[in-house]
Parts: sequence; C-alpha cells; structure tokens
Amino acid sequence: MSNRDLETKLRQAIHHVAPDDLDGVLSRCKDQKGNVIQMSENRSDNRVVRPNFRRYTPWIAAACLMLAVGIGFYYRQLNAIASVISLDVNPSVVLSVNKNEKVLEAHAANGDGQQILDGMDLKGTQLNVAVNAIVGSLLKHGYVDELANSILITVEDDNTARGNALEQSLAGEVNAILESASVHGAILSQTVASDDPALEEKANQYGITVGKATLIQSMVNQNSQLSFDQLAGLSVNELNLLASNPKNDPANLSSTGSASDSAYIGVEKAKEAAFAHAGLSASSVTMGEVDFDYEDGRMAYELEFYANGIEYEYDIDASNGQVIKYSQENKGMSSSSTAGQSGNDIGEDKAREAALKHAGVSQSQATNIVVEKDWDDGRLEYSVDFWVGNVEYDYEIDGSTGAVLKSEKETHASAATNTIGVEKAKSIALTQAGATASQVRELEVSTELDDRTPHYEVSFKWNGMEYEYKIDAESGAILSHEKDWD
Amino acid sequence: MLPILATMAENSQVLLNPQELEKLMVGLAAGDRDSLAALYHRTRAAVYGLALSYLKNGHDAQDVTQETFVRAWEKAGQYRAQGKPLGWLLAIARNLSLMKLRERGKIHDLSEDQWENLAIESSEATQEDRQILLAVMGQLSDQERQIVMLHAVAGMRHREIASLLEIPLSTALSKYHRALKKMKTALKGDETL
Repeated sequence: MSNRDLETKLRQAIHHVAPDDLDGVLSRCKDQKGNVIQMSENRSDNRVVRPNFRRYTPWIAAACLMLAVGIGFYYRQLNAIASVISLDVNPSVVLSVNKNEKVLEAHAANGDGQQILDGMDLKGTQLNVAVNAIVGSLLKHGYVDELANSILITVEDDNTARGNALEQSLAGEVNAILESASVHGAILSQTVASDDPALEEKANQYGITVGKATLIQSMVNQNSQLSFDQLAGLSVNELNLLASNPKNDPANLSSTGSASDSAYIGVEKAKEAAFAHAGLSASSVTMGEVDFDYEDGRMAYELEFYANGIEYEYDIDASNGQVIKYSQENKGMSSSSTAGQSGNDIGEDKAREAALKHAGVSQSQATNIVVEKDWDDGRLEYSVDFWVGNVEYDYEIDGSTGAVLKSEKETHASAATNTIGVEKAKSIALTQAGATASQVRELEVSTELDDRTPHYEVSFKWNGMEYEYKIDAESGAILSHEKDWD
Repeated sequence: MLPILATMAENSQVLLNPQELEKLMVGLAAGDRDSLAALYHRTRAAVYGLALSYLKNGHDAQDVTQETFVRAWEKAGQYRAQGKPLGWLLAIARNLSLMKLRERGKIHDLSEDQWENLAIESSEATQEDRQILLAVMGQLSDQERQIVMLHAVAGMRHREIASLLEIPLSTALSKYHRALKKMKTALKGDETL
C-alpha cells in the first residue's frame, strides 16, 4: 500500500466516524447580525443606556411625542458607551467610544499614561484619530522603540462581532503607524466582554487595565508556575516575550510581529553561558527549544539541549547571562560518557554497517541509504533505511551498543529502482536554494520510492528560512518546493 | 478501489481549498449561518480528527469539535485573511483539546473494544475503517498521531504542521514517515527479518 493510499483510507475512516453535529453547533451560535439596536436587551453594566421603546408604544402614533422620543434616543445613543479600548505599553490609556467610534472619554490608567495624554483633548475626536495621536505620543516619549516594541490593544465590548471588527481595524491602524515610523512593532490584540467583575477588581487592585489583567490571567491559567502578582509589574513587551513561550500561550489573543529581545543578551549569549556552565562545546550539543521564561523574579532564557546522552535544562538570566537554575537528566547513556567516544555513540557509519550486516546486504548492493540519529524513549538510536531493488529495509539500531532493536523488510510491487540517489537529491535541493550542505541546519531526506510518483523529500533550515522540496526520484526534477520563515 | 481513493483525494482537496474556506470565513464574520454550515461540512472531519488525536476519546472529540465551530463563529471577526483559514480553525481545536486534557487531568485512552464500538456506532464505518483507526490509535505516539491526522486528514503541509505543533520541520517529517511505516506494519503484518 502506498503512502497516498494509506492517507486516503485514514481520511475516509475519519469522515465516516466524525459525527455530523451541525444542529448542535447552530443551536449554540447566537445571531451575530445584532449591530442594530437591540430593543429588549438589558445590559448588565450601567454604562450603556438604551431606550425601551415598549414604554412608548401607546403613544407611538403621536407624531410630536415620537419626534421627542427620537431626539432623546438619538441624544442618548450619541452619549452611550459602545466600546472601551485600552492601549497598554507600560503607559496605559483607556478610551471610551460610542457606536459611531467617537471618543466620549479618554483617561490615563497609570502615571506614564498621564504623560502620554498630557495636553491632548481627545474628547469628540474619531477613534482612529485619537489612536494615531496616542501612538504618536508613545513614540515621541520613547515608550515604543526597537528595544521594547509591543503594544496591547484590548476592546471591551459585549457585542462580540463589533468588538472583533474594531480590534482588527485598530491592530491594522497601529501597525501602519509604527511602520511609518520605521519601528518593527509587535501588536497583541484581544476582545473581551465588558462584565467580568472579578477581573475588574483585580485590575483595580494592581492599578492596571482590564486588558492587561485579561492577558496576565490567561497566561497564569495556562502555566501554573506563573503568578498574577509577578506578572502584573511587567511591561507589555515582557509579557509578549513570555506569551511566545508555548507553555504560556494565552487564549484568544491575536499577535502580529515579534516582541523585541534587543534589551537582553540574546539567545546566542545565553547558549554560551549554559554550555560553559555545563562544560560542553557548542559542536557537541543538539539544541532543543529556547524560550523566554520568568524565573526567580527575572526574565530568563529557558534552554533545552542534549549532549552525550544527557538532557540539560537551563534558565539563564536574560539581562546578565547568570545561571538561575539548571537540571540534567541522564537519558539512558553512561553518565561518564564524553563527546565523540565511540563506546557511547557508535556513530552513523557503525549503525549503517550493523543494519547492512543484519540484512546480509553489502554496501554496494544497497541504494538510497538514509541514516538518522534520534532519541526514542530516552535512548540514543539510529534509524537506518535503505533499498535493494524494490525491497525496502528499515532498521532501528541502538546508538550506544550497535544492537539491532527493530528490523523490517517490505517488498513493494512497484518501486523506482533507477534512482538518482539520496545525495544527488540533497544536492539538487541545496543548489536550487543557493545553499551548501555546510551552511544549512537540520538537513533531512526521506525516500518515497513506492509512491505513485517516486520521490525524495528534502528539508533543511538556512538563513532564517525553512525549505521543503519534493524531488523526482528518477529524473531529479523538482516536483514542488516551499520556503517559509523559520 | 484505486479510482475511488483517487476521487476521495480530489474531493478532499476541493473541500479544503483555502480560497473557498476564506470566502466562508468572510461569511462567518458577517454573521451568515449558511457559511457556518458550509464550513462545518467541509472541515468537521479535519477538526474532529485532530481533536481525536489529542483526546483519544470520541465523546470528548465531539465536544471539542462543536466548541471549535462555536468559537469560530464568535471569533470570525478576529480572523485575518492570510490564506490559512483551516490552520486558524485547527489552532482553535488544538487549544481547546489541550484545555480539555488539562480539565480531565489525565488521558482516558480508549481500549481496542471501545474503538471498535466507536467505529461501529457510525453506520458508515467499514471493517477497513476500524482497522485503520485501530492502527492510528494503538500504534502511534501522541505526536505521531497528531501529525498524521493533520497531514492526511486536514491536508496541511509539513511546515504548517511544524508551526502549529511548535516542532522543527525535520521532526514533523521524520515522525510522519515513521508513523506511516508503523501503520503499514500494523495493517499488513509486514515480514519481520
């Protein structure tokens, strides 16, 4: 069975067992076309005053009274708060607007916010004009620059559709202003309901906006090791850096751009500090994830890496490179192992030899040999794949002893036998990208010789981009290629 | 069998065509229920498959699938047209699945019998469907299962999967191929040396 057939069969199986629950979904989806005035709606908060037409029903025929009601209604609509928008950097400013997006009130939520609003009378202006002025003032006062480029936009609105639309347009607006000032901004935005008393109380307690409190609460909900108390004092740029850590990923938050870490030592310096502490050279290390973390009251780089069968985790102070904490876990290798000793890591050549010997195949008979180093269940393993004619061999070899852990052999009814080879496929992909093998990272190739169109899949990272190629196994033609930001 | 499989693959490409889904997202943002119904029919299997791969429980996966579309309806205004509407939808499904896992505190795996029953509950499920699902749920690691569902059922590219699951592209690729091999072994009982 080819990969494609298997994929199709799985797709078919899921289509068959996935319940059709459209009625259940629709019954829970409230009508979103509610931007017109809701005659019977009772707001839970006291900021919006909406007229109750039923009171006037007996008199509705009287033209003069109707006119009076109309004028009153119009007046109240103009003065009713439809949405509350907060802009947080470190300065925080809150704007209340009516349904026509005209500013009814602008106030600072902290001392820095007062500096931003100083001398500006935004009442009566259109929201986009007010936002333009505020962001301009933030730039002028140096609160948004390449060192700290994050802005949080929060729209509080009970009408979700209207709130979302406003959030999207404001995010675009702010982004355009920052771009025109040649600042690579990072914009976080969210829409929240306007009646969460618990969160409002917390926001008041810490002297922050409901928007910032929402973001912090969301991260604390995701990661129990964070506390509201700790995060309340951080700037939005620091929160944005922490939000980029998958452990803290806040719900319902839209994000564009990357938070600047220019105020910190940078990932490379953090790596150097961790490797030096662990007594390792960079070349002996396989890197895992690097993320921002908040540890011991400090912004930190959280690094994971592997070397000599040991998994290391470090938290490095992002400001000065100091080791805050570290741990290491032996993943099944001898703790006395050192890099490069063949007794601990047999290496790719020995792994390949072990597989070929077990299969009774000489190296010259085998084609399309792919050897990959991998960690599985805490053990160093080599995966060795190769072909002899239309027979595919798949081995897993213990990386420290060379023992055969698993062996499979599959005869394919149709498989490409006159192939260009793995190395040629790599070379074609690298040439197309304009790179060399020594320049790229994570160069991987897989053989799909039993596919309807036998091909190689080649992937690698280079120059901040990820590349993925499909190369025809017989002709060497590039069937497809993609690249995206790493 | 092969022509039927080919037709299904084509249908899947049509169903999940990003331009078509993008139009439906515009409809959703405007509060159009017909767009929601069309989006549901096109993408429910992809969403359900991903939820199932995380939760390993048909009822929880159904709950998450329903919640995903309700959230999509509510949050459609936040969607920014980038030609990746399915990725947006699946990101919601993934987050909801992770929340569900945290709520549950532990993963309730389905036994083989339960899996068979789940498949049987659907009148459309065939014997082959049951075998495939048993292989996916029984033989693959959690991440392998997620990757296979995202590529085979949701039609996502490997680099999109790597981005969604926050893993290196090379890991997504190698785990995908390893997963397919495991499934083939389980389904065919390949010759062991």
